[in-house]
Amino acid sequence: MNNENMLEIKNLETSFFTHLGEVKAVRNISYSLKKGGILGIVGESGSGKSVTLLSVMRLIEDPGKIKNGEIIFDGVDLTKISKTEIQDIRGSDISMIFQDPMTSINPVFTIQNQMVEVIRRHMLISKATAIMEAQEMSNISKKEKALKNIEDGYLRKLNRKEALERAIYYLGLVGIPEPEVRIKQYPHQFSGGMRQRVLIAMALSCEPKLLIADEPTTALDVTIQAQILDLLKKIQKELGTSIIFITHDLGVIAEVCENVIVMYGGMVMEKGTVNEIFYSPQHPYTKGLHQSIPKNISGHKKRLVPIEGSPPDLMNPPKGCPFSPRCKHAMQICIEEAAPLAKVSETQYSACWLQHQDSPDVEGFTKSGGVK
Amino acid sequence: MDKNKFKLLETSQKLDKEQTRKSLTYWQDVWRRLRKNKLSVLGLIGVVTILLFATVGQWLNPHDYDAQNRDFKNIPPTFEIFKIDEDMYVYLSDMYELILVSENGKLLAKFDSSPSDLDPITKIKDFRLLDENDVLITFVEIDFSYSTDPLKADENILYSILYKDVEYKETYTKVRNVTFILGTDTVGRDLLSRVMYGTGISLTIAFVAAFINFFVGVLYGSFAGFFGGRTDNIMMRIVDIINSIPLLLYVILLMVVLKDSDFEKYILDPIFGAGGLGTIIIALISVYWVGMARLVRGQVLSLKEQEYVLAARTIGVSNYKIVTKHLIPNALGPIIVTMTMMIPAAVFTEAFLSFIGLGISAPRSSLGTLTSAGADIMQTYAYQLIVPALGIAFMMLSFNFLGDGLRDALDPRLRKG
Amino acid sequence: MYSYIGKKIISSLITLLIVITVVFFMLRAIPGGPFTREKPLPEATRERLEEAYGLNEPLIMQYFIYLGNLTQGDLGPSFNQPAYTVNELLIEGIPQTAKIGGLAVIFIISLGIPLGVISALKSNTSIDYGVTIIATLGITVPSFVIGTLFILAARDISWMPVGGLDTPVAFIGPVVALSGYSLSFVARLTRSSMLEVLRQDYIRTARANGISEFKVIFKHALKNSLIPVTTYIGPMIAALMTGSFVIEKIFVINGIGKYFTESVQAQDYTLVIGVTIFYAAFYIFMVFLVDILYSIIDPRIKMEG
Repeated sequence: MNNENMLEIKNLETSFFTHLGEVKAVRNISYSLKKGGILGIVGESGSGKSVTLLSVMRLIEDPGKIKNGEIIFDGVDLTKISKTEIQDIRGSDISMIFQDPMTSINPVFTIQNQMVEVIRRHMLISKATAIMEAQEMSNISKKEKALKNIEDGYLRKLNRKEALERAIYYLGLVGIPEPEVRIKQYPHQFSGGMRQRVLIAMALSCEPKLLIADEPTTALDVTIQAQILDLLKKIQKELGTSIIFITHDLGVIAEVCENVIVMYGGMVMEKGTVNEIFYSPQHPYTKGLHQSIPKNISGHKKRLVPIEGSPPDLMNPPKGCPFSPRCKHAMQICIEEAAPLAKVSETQYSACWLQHQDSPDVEGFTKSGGVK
Repeated sequence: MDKNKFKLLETSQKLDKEQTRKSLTYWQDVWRRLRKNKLSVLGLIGVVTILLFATVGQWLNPHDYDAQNRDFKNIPPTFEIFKIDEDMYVYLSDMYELILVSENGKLLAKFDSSPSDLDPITKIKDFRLLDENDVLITFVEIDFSYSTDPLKADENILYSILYKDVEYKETYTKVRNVTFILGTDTVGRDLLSRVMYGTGISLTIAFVAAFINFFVGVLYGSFAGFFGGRTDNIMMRIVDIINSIPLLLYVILLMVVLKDSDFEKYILDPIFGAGGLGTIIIALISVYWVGMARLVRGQVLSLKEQEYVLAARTIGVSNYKIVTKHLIPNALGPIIVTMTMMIPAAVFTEAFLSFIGLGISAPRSSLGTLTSAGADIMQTYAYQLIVPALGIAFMMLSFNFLGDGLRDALDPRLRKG
Repeated sequence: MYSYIGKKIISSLITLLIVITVVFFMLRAIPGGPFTREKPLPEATRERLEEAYGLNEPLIMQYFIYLGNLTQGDLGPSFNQPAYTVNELLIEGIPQTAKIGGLAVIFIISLGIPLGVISALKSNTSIDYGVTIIATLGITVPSFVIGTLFILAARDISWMPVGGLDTPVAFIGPVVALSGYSLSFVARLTRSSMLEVLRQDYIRTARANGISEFKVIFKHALKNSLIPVTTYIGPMIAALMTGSFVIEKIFVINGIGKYFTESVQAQDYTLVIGVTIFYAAFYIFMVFLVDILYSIIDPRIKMEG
């Protein structure tokens, strides 16, 4: 176990058992995230990127199930712990923010109600405060007992007032003006961008070690997007929170992430640093993604190249590489067998048979040392 | 590893899993979704059964709904018979009328008897079987002393039958009434015919009311929604006021006002026949259109913001055409569902009105009047209540299932989990 | 807030006035009057009676006299039971009806909502199917059928009275028969709205924040799923009020429902108008309360009116 890793996913398989059959949403995925790092996961709808992270949170609902694999978070396998233990972790050690801020906050409770509820669910007072409180006690025996309890690690939960102060502090931190006024309001009194800030504040309020952001900017307009991205970068820098960023927007990835994972059809296609994925992608799917982004760098317009075809049917996925039916460079082996993640550089891996020494030379693809 | 596998494939060789799904029209898709829902298929079958029952059923049934068989009053669907001779079976009804029956339960003739035939001391009553010319064929005596004589209480029977000096204390068997499958009512009318006829009347009320409601509600609602502003405000204010007291109250008041009025006598009865059928329909439609009007208005208000309406306007399509060609067809889904639900609601209301004495008058019947009549005598003749009550429940169930299924099929977003 | 309530009150009063007017003139349009029924009275007697009840005045005068009396809370004498005033009959009938109605409301809410919640939480299990079947029956079997079957069954149960409201047990039949429809409706409505709410994003947010499943359901989901249920309370009261007409007839209860049906058949003008006004006023008041309740539960409703 590498102690530098915040999160390590090993051979994860998650499926949905619908009445029509098993939908294999995540098929044997492994990756890890360093402490304090920002990892981007990119892929189109249905590639399994959200399901992977919902598996981490154990938020997969019926008929979905984690079939196999380990999810090691801070040394603990999240797939093995009990329901109450994962509830303690959710919102405190790992927080998640979702795609649509308009629908992700309960409309019938005030922001204060919802934030205080979360904070009081997880947060204990700091040791220093506890000692200070104990010192102020007049009854000697009570004071000693309290101090002993503190030594033993028993700290009380935040009271309502403390939780409210904390909530206001975090609302201010994420850039909500007049937080002490606005916290009394209901979600419908906030704009979309403001609601996403509220959700981020709520997610941060218990000082999570890992923040999972599932397409947090997709539902927002472009200027607000940029603000939210800046905010997340600032948080990562100032609070040292590790962040996993799920998106289908390569532009967003380029702006915030250090490392990138490209997913397709429930599998990892390629992973590497941002520079590697952007400047020397080694998987035809990643290349395809690049060509389908509008660019106007050199000043002359180029026609967009879409990826032909449509994503695989996960009920009955292709036996080999999920991308093979749409791939320009598909080979017989691609249909029969999925390629393993082969090492391209120290940090870059690609699951493509073009890395194999027997494969034909295709421009733009380098070969690795052989099958790993 | 086989090196041949590392050759680039032609496009045709690729296993493109992309399936070309057959595209369905809106109604084909609705029909497909409706068929998938077992309950709504059951509902559809139920509705068809009810329709056949009320139409073809009446035609197949040998009895008329208003023909009174004075000899066979209150005969239940099953009864116990006595065998008193070779090939001679009798049944004593709950009204203490003796009836000659066949072994398989066919009603043959009623024995003649009057209260004066009862011997006040021996409690024995004479029953005479007469032919067409009132000539005595044979006679039977019934000993009722068992129900009054304390010495005979141990026998635990109410009466015994005496025929040719033999006493019969035990019934021979229980048979089904094959002459009148569901029995007869208090004046000897075939209950099955009355239920069939009553179903027909209930359905007529429901369908006519639902259709007129549909037209009035759609017109009112779509014009209010389409013109908006002040027109809409005034039109909806009227709807609000009608809606501000329970609708059934208006229906009852209207029934009272219309019943026996000149309007009923000279206009409604000639159209719908005697017995107040027209009055019920008028009362129902003059109140229940408001629900439809509100629904349509809501639909139109949201639909008229759609771009295609703007597009139609820019090319100069008339308001009338926009309403009839664009708005109504698009609002059709929820309207159809509301109509399906209006039918059981109307049946329900009609039954309710009958129950408080405002229903259609005899000899015509509806499920409501039959249930109401049955409830009055349920202590003795429970079948006369149970049969029409089950009829109502079956009808409600079928239309509700169909309506639920239609709602899901017409709008998959509303599908219940 | 206050201006919203004020506006509501004014519009409620206007509606009530319109209802009174419509009912008044509608009933006066009936051919014949209360004294021209089966047994025709001698001309002189009839005229005397009509004079005594003010029926000889022009219609419009009668209307204003009636309105005038109404502002003093006087609903006039009953035409058919001259010994009583409408007020007296109402005062006699209301407690009976209110008892059954009130119990029915408690019964419906305390059973319908939990049944709906359980059904939603256990969706597609045998519990859910059981609740759904019972709820469907409750909606499709008319209350008078439930009521009469109840009485039919009560014949064979010694401790079950077949009518009246003299013992606590006697309430079971009327309350169950009266509640059947609304209870089923509330259960169905709660179930579908709970299922809908449980699919919402904010429920996922609550779960992702580590809120316990109990709180997710009973705090976050329940309050939202009660919004559509609240809107049904108005129609429910209407259903209960009109439902009590037949229930009171079947179970021989001297409530206002019985007076209403009797007075309708006897064309007892003053009693019909009196009962209708009472119903309308009560109903309008309840709808007004529901409006307020609704805006408390759902903060998105604007109170500015």
